[in-house]
Amino acid sequence: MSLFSRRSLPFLALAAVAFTAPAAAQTATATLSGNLGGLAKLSLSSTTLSFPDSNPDTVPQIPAAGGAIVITAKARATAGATVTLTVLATDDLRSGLDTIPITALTWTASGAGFVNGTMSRQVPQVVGTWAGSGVQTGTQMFRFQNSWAYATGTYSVSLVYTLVAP
Amino acid sequence: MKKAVWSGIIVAVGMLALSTPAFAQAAQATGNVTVNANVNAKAKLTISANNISFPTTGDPDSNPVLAATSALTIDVKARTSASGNVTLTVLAGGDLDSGSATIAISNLTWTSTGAVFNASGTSNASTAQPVASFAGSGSYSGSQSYSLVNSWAYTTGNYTATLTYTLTAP
Repeated sequence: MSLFSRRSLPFLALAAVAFTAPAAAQTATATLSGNLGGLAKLSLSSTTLSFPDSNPDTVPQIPAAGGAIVITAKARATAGATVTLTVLATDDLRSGLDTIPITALTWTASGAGFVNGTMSRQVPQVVGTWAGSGVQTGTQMFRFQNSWAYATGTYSVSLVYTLVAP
Repeated sequence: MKKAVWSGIIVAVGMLALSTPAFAQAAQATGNVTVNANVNAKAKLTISANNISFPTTGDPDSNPVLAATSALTIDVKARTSASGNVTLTVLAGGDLDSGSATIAISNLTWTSTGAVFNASGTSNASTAQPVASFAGSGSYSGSQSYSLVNSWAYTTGNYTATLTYTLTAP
């Protein structure tokens, strides 16, 4: 008995034709999705701000001893969204029971998008605003309104900066 | 087969929805800065003139008290603790003298105006006399008008005395 019967020969012939024919081209589309969520990063050149004692007549506005704070705000936001940097004082300047209104603290700003302002303990004050993603660098030079009316003491307060990238 | 197709569609729609801005969360970063301000004790005294003159003595009967030609304007500025007692005093360097002749410094008196100024006072060469006082920090202005008791007993001469003002903010 031969290896292949007569009936099986036609099928083998078809199979041979099929395997020797050129491979059919086939395309497929794959969509790659990367989720780039909002991101915000804030850097301040100093975490302390000091004002030396001065005569109110000769130095009515005391500049911060260390000079301006350099602020770097990095944000990744939706296109056209407004990125905002604000600052809010936790209290008035306080030395025991004595207080100095936080509005005695003002600043002048430099850098695109950065603005001048007066400190508040109730409403976050805008330090800078920008449209869309990017890296923004600016400075904030603080001044302390001097006065004969202040009681002596070492006054302190904390400032909280918040960068929001919607 | 149908079930697999519908599952794929649901997954695709879900992924599309999650990737839209409406589902993106706002990113936020914070930073803290501590502020320190030193306010030390200070005192500043400004007197409008550094000499006081009296007109040539007239008849003591008709001019028993001589008024200085002008009043002094006194500005006091002090920074102290909330309960600190700020004082302004004046102390005479001695009696009014003209060579060996003297007029007792107690003949030099004053009246004052101003919120924290004493209404009147008498000069003294041994004990500083209060001119003004107030509690806590602040700035005040007042005036001080000197008078000299006139007397037939005075020896003629040009009399002088030095007055030293001291403002203290503890």
